[in-house]
Amino acid sequence: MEHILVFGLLIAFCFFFKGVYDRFSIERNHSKAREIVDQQLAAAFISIATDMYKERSKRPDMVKPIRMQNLIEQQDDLVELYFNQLEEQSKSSVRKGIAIRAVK
Amino acid sequence: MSNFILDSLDLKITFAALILIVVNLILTKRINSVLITTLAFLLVQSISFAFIALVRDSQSDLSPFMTRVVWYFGFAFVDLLAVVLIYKLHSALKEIYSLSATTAVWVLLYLGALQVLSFVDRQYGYDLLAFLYKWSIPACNVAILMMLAVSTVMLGMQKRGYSGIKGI
Repeated sequence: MEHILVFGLLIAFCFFFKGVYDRFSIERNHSKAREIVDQQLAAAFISIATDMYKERSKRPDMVKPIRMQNLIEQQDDLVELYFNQLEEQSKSSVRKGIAIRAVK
Repeated sequence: MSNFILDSLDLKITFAALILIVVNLILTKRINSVLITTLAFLLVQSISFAFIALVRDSQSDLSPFMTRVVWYFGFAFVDLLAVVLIYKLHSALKEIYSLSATTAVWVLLYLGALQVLSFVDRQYGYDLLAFLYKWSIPACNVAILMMLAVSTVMLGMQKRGYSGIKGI
């Protein structure tokens, strides 16, 4: 009788353990994907900033206004993407204060 | 080996975890991954006090076998419940897992498995894991606590922007 109870409890524990482990792995992969997206957004901002710096520090006869205009448009797109992210965050009640402060 | 280290170590760890939660909220004025991990850790330590009071020190009517079952499987269940709490809170608050959170999850999974293995070990007379059971559990608790303390201080020292992305 005792052995049956121990065996049953062990089986139940193994299922619970596997379930918890699998669920944790899935959630961690989601979180890693979101972290990569954040890092790519930051990296895009930095690369646009360095390109603008290079454009501005060129000799006058090497400058084409269209390139700077393209960079400004790309930067505007990135800023709009960032504002959309903040708005999505502000919809969750916990981060609302943080998002509103950042937009101001 | 003398046991003086283990006297009231769990009480000190629990109080230290409680103080760490308050320090975390003072240094970083927002909810973060390290705070969630500290909360889950404090939960595990506090429930262990209840177990010690109700199961080991009380005069209960349970047979020795049932007492052993409740003790080991109860602790294993609490450890896994803390893991569930960590990942549910992270997904509800849309937090990114810090190193402390993932390490604490691995250690809690190990502690849960150790409880069940020690039960089988002790029930069927082998008693091979006695040393590991007695010393690795306080060692893991102290290690998690130190990791959380250092993470809290490092988090407080970072100058983070409002978005949570580093440097912006």
